[in-house]
Amino acid sequence: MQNKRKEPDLTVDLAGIWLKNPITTASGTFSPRDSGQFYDLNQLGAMITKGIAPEPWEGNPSPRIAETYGGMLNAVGLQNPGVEAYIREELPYLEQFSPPVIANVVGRTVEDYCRVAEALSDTSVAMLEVNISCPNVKAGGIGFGTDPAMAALVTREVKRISKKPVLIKLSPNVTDITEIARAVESEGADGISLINTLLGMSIDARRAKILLANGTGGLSGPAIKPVALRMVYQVCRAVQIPVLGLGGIRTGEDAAEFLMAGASAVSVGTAALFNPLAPIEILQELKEFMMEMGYRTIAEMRQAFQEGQGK
Amino acid sequence: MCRDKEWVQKSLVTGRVAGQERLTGDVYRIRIQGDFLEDFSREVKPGQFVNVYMKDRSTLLPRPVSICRIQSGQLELVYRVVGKGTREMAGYHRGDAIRLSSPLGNGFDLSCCQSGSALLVGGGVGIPPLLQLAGELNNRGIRSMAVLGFQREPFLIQEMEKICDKVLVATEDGSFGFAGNVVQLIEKEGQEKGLAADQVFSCGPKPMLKALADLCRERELPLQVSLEERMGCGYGACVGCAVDIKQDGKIQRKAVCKDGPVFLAEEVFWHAE
Ligand SMILES: Cc1cc2nc3c(=O)[nH]c(=O)nc-3n(C[C@H](O)[C@H](O)[C@H](O)COP(=O)(O)OP(=O)(O)OC[C@H]3O[C@@H](n4cnc5c(N)ncnc54)[C@H](O)[C@@H]3O)c2cc1C
Ligand SMILES: Cc1cc2nc3c(=O)[nH]c(=O)nc-3n(C[C@H](O)[C@H](O)[C@H](O)COP(=O)(O)O)c2cc1C
Repeated sequence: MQNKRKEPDLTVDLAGIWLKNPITTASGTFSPRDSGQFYDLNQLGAMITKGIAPEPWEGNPSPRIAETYGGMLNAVGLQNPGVEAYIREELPYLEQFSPPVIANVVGRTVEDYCRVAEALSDTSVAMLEVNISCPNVKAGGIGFGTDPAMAALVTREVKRISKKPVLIKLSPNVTDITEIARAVESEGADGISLINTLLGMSIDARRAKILLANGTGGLSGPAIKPVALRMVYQVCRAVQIPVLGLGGIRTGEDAAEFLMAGASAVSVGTAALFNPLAPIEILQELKEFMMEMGYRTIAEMRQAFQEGQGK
Repeated sequence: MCRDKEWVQKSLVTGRVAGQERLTGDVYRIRIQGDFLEDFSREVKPGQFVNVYMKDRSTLLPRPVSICRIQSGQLELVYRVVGKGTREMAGYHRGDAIRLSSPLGNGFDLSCCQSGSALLVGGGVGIPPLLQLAGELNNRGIRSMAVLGFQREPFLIQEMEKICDKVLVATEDGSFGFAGNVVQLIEKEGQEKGLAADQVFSCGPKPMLKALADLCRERELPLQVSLEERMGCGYGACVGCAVDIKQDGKIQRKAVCKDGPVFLAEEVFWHAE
């Protein structure tokens, strides 16, 4: 190919917002002021913030982190300063940078989600990512994201109130991920992101004690990539709305796999914890991978995969 | 919109192992070289740590290790082998590459020490950051006394003796120095000679820090403690290493890596273990 060495066009459209590249930061693994000490945030496709609740949440006691083979468990418990402090202190800082801001929204009740969505409606936030892995305190603590009816309810109510496009972020701790995906699509979700962490636990055998203070925690990192990729692939074939893929992405080729599976963009999470430069290194590797393979656009790369699969 | 360099100020670097020696039992000192040390030594504050990134990809998370000192163009870390990561480190030889972060966290606050004297209290592998601290206090003309506790065999004693006015040693089993813990030793010393210090600095196991905090509260001595917690990222991205801190009348969860690891003892909410 003659223009094999030409820089590829990495731009993508994610549910109506234009991203200069498909690399975003996964919620809860990115702190603008701290991550920005290692690289220029302007290089990112989009900045996804940590989960924001209507009020400050103090999170779980320590230990909150347990390393596992090729991954980690976290039980941070969605510690956050609440939406008012977020709008006052975090957003003005983020506004100095060019990539769009996607605000991750958490709640314990449907009203919680709606209060955050409403508060963010008249801000510079480009899009919401609604984390429905949280337990619903009004339904005995069952995760919103594990029941199609509850997932649909949150989607409907948030969509009703929000002036911003809404991604619903799915929990992988379900039997059939496509059922939940269809439920949120039918209630008007603008897109889906997946996967959140897989529920796990860790025991400190030498102390004969459960390691995390919370008991269980969410598994993330390279260890979960095959599960995440399978779910992204299935969901991309079950719904028409765009998908933001994540789970264990560590290299440019990992990102390419998710994009081939059908994701419009990807997020880098745990990799940024064990390598603060991961998002931009992955971006660079993706660019080099596409140049090496002769793909000029993300769409062309996805097309090649579909043709490779014979459909 | 902002330009890159005003913000970007931390990095990951690859150093070379200049040497490694066993200090005692399972405690090692590793010496690391690299161009980056020029920047490090200009910026580093006593009590800061570096993240060490392992080569074995099954141990994904960084290992936080206190900066013991930077001397003759070498960064020294002193660590105990307790698991997979530190065992990997103990296997590094001269010339091997070692991946590190820039110095992280806030060190000890020395603004309160313009003159007078300081008491440094260390336990086990909590002693390494006190060596750098003692050096810095010395540079500022502040006299220091160190009380160091070990389970059995002591280490870093000679290095501390070179800098501090006085070094007292306690071992749990009495094999060296005072038989007992550092807090008992400080109490005994206080009864015999009186305890005078304008500031107390400490790093070591939590029960030791807690007992010392009680003692310092009674004696109305200001105490700064360096805390440990299991970390995710070590640079403030994940709030994995939370510790309960009393500020403005309420308890707030702070990150050891970013808000600490040094805190005012009176602000730490000490949970019963
Ligand atoms: C700010 C700070 C400074 C430190 N400075 C020193 C030092 O100078 N010398 C020294 O010997 N040790 C120091 N430690 C403790 C050191 O980080 C741990 O001993 C080390 O991470 C153990 O790793 P491992 O793989 O050998 O153990 P493993 O038990 O196999 O580690 C499993 C996981 O638990 C974490 N972990 C285990 N023990 C600790 C601990 N005590 N504190 C924090 N995380 C832990 C590891 O980082 C890893 O993520 C420091 C800890 C902190 C937080
Ligand atoms: C420390 C930590 C905190 C997280 N916090 C959030 C959060 O606030 N909201 C959310 O939707 N997901 C959160 N997640 C999940 C990640 O965004 C991501 O879905 C998951 O970790 C899988 O991706 P990874 O393997 O690349 O990390 C968190 C994950 C980690 C490790």
